[in-house]
Amino acid sequence: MAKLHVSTTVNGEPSEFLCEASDTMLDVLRGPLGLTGSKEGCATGDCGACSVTLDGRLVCACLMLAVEADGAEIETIEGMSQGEKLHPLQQKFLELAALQCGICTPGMLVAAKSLLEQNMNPTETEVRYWLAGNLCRCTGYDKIVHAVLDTAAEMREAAR
Amino acid sequence: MTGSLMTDIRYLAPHTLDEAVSAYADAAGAARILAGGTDLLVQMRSGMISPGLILDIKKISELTEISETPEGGFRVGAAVSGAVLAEHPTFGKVWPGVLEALNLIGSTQIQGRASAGGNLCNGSPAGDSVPAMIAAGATVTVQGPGGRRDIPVEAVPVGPGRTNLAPGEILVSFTLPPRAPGSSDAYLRMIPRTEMDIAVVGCGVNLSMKDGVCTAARVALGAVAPTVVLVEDAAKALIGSKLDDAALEAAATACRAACHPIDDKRGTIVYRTKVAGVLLKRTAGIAADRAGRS
Amino acid sequence: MYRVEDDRLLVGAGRYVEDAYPADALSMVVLRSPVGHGTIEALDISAAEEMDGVTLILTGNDLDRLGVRPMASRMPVTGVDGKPMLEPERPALARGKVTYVGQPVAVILAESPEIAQDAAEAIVLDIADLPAAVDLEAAASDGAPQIWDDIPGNRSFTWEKGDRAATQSGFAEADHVIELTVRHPRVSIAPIETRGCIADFDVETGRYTLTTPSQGVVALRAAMADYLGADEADVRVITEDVGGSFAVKIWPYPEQLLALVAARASRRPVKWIGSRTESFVSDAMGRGRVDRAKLALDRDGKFLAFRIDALADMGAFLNAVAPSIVTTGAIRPYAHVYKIPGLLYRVDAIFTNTMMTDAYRGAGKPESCSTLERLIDVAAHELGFDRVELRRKNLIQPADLPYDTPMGETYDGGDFPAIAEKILVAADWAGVAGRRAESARKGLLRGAGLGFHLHATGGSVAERSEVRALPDGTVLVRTGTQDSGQGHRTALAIVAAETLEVPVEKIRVEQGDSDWLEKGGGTGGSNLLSIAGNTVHRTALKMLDQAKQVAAHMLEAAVQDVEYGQGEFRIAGTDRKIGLAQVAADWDSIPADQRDGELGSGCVAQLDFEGLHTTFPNGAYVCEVEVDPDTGAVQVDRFTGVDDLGRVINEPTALGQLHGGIGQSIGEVLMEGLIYDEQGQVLTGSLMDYALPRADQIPFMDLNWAPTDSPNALIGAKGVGEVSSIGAPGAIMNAVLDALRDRDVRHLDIPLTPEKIWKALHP
Repeated sequence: MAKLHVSTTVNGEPSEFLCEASDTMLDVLRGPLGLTGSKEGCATGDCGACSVTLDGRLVCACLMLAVEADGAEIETIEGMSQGEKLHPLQQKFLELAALQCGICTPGMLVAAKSLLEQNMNPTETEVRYWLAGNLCRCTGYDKIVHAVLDTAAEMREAAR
Repeated sequence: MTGSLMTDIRYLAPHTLDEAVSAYADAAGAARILAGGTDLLVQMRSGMISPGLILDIKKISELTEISETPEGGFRVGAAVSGAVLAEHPTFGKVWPGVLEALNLIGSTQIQGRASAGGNLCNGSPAGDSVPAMIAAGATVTVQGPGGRRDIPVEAVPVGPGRTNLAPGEILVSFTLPPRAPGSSDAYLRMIPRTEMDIAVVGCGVNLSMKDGVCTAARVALGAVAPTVVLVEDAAKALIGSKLDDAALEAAATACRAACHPIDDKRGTIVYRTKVAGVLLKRTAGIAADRAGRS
Repeated sequence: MYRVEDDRLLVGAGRYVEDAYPADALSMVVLRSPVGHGTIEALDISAAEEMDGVTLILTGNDLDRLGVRPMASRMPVTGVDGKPMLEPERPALARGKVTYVGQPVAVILAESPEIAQDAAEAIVLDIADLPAAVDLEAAASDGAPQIWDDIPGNRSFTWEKGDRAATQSGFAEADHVIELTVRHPRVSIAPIETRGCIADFDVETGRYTLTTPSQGVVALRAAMADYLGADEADVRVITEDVGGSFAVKIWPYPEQLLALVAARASRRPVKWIGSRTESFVSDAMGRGRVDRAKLALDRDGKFLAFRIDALADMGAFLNAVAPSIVTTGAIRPYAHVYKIPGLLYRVDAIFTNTMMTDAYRGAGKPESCSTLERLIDVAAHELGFDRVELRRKNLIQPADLPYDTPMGETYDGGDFPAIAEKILVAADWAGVAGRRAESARKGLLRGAGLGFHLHATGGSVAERSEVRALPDGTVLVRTGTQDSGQGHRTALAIVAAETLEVPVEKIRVEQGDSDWLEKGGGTGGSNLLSIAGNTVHRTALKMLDQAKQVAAHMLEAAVQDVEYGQGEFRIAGTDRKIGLAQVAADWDSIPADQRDGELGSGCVAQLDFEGLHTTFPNGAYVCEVEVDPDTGAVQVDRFTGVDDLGRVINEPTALGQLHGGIGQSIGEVLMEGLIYDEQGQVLTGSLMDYALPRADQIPFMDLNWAPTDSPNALIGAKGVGEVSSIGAPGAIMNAVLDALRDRDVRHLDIPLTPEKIWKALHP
């Protein structure tokens, strides 16, 4: 069967690819598009390691068909920093050492960015529930939650 | 082991409902409808299902819209995700219980995709949004080769994984009735371990209060029977009462009586049954507070 | 300073095994046993072999032909009867019978994972079911189904350690004996990166290359060479970024071995990435012990004797070092901070029709520690002692140090009474009653739990380090340890920078290629700083000594006149100097015939670990929980700790280790627990069914330091990796049981799920 042709935008750049109807967005990101920052931790939407945004909305790339990206905008961890300049969340994760093995980190950062884009002033509880779909086995979430709260505070300060 | 995805699968994303209905009917059972995909893709990946056609309904405007009805209720497209519904300016104020139920389905990532339509059509007795929709008195519009029809939400599920939809019928939208003054709703569930888990009991309550007395109520329970159940005896126990301990206890007893749950690793029969009563009391309390109690 | 690991990881540029897509690689899929115990009646691969894109299928019948040896375990144990443990032969692919769900039966190599999967489904596998022995206690009892014909009672060995006479007299003289059975169920270790590997074979050189996450490439190379029947020199193991391990990726696995064999047979690279579903049935699992425990006390509450009679669940075979985990691993700290004259541990190692267990963060110590801490709480409650005072009066005192334990350890430091003082203040123990009343007003039961802990760090001492000064001013440090998230490169860079008196940015730490170092112990037993830290420090000094010879030669001075400081060699009392980088650069210009002898080996040195390596990090934790009595739901409300890690080399990474262990302990105690049914099917085979703790279930943790010196630790740092996973479970269990104390609940086995608690409250 002929492959499907998909025209999309990935991290702000136009992108085209061919895929099978059954390929997931994660398959295509990691394979043909070479963006391996999004990880497969479970393939069932339970771990969040493949978190990306689809038209600005946080989703698991493993639970989205690649063909659904047609005409849409996808953002991944690879698009988070501006060149060498880290996103404030990445910078804060660095400062607080809010990562260990790093396998959940891309998904965690994409999820946290998505939270701060819609809620500049989240409570600890809001951060914890928002990130509850992103499993981390290393950190006990302590420094991750601190990093998100601290980043939000700094971004609010900077926006004043 | 991942299931094979090599079988030839077609993908179709029609822009009109008529096209969708016709393609769905033509596929004669080999098609699966893709809304949020949060159940479908897991089932495909595990090899549980291997559809010949994936019918993406998200390009059909009627299935992705939220609108207010002339009567003052809401129509919610079957493919609207929980996250989109949460962003609606008024829906959550009018139907807080329905919204909280829909947004208990999975993580933030899942809420960005999962829809009430998918939750209902999946036929799980533990689908969180279903008891809330039933308590709300919502109806669904379905369209198939034979035309359109409206049915109450509680008439849709007939057993685990099975619904009343006729072959070729597609769930189009939910209609929530206008809100009576002094009324509100709530949904609570008990999850065995973590926030992402499947409920062992879910309880939706929608009620009206006047002068401290409950004047109308609907109660629905999830995960305690092969389908989500509307518990009319619980509603009767609440109506006419001031939601005092005796009335709540009577309603809780009715809920326990309505339970015919399964015994599994997530929850035993006795636990599910007892917790159903506990949740009824708590959910009714929240709904009454939201309704203003007075 | 920031972790040196993080620049790449934060932008999605980490390199984990799943991220490599070697050109021309075959995909490997494993066909696994779908039943717990049975005889293979038929295994027909003919249809699968015919499928387009399938290049090779291997079954148990191919192993001998290909020279693949059984995967024998690697740390044998001698039983209390003086006889060797009984070990069934473990073939990489099942032969004749299957003994656990998930056991590899065949591997399929194909042009894509999808083709391989389709081929796996086309293999005809008929298995005649045999009765299964799944539950540990049932498998150990009379009349249980026998898994191995020549291993009666499913028992591999019985092992014992301790002072039997002192223990017997302790119980004989006791005024009180408290007995308690504490079950430590199996858990899935479940790092977010699943296992996987890429295997290659170079036909020209006859060399194998295995790229795989591990905790040390050298030990894995030895195991693979052994199972392949190859020289170690013909096997190279590479480990890049590791997405979490906690022990599960230390071991040699059949998939790695089979991928190497398949790469050799097919002359193409082979890639295998395990799915999450496979991880739940084929990763070595943690815990799996039932402790029947007893504590003897005199009338004043002095502990006289403590013994555990344990059953340990080995699974269907003996995994790599599993026999040592349930024996020496269980007893190394044993009575940890308490002075108990009579100590005894006895264990029966039992085979079951399940995937094998092996070490998991703490490796036998979390079980022993939490069993004792539970026993102390039960004793305090039943005998009317205050649980804090009962602990305090039995603590080893600073004056007792160095303290020889009846299990053969000599504690070299610590101040346990000081830990007790600090934890009570830090946790506001005095405020518990008030918070309990506040919870009660919300209809909730609050519990507070206290537990002390002490770790005897371990790990392999076969460590070698290399330190090499480079002409560009950087220093390359290589070690045989392996990071899986802890921040090894950061910690060892700090150690090397201090020793060499150069900025830490100048240090580059490398690990993860068995071609770099002949030896290397790998990571385990919280050994990074006590073993690799020691070795890096000594190797750096040795390199400086050698470089000083070269510098003296360059400066035309006597070696004894040359001083080193801040990256420079200087003739004492003059301004004549040469930088370490310059020495490294000039070294190349020294004629080879002058390099031997007094010039030593120039600016590169290697050393093996020497000295004492066991450190005794210790501390205490307090956990507070709220229990909803109507549903049994538990929320952890507060978690406070005081730890003595000796000198903390890098606070953020040390804290991160403690945080992670506490998070895993909350999971283990409240929600995890791998469930097999009676036939040996895994009922918790996905992350939906197996609950890992999520961000909303773990509170911020308040952790504090109370350092003391460790004479055993050359660089002053005690181990950290396993400390909180040893100490936290007891405190969390005690907290939940404390919440239920007034409701006549003596003990509940973990995981303390809402339903289990609810049932205990509504008998």
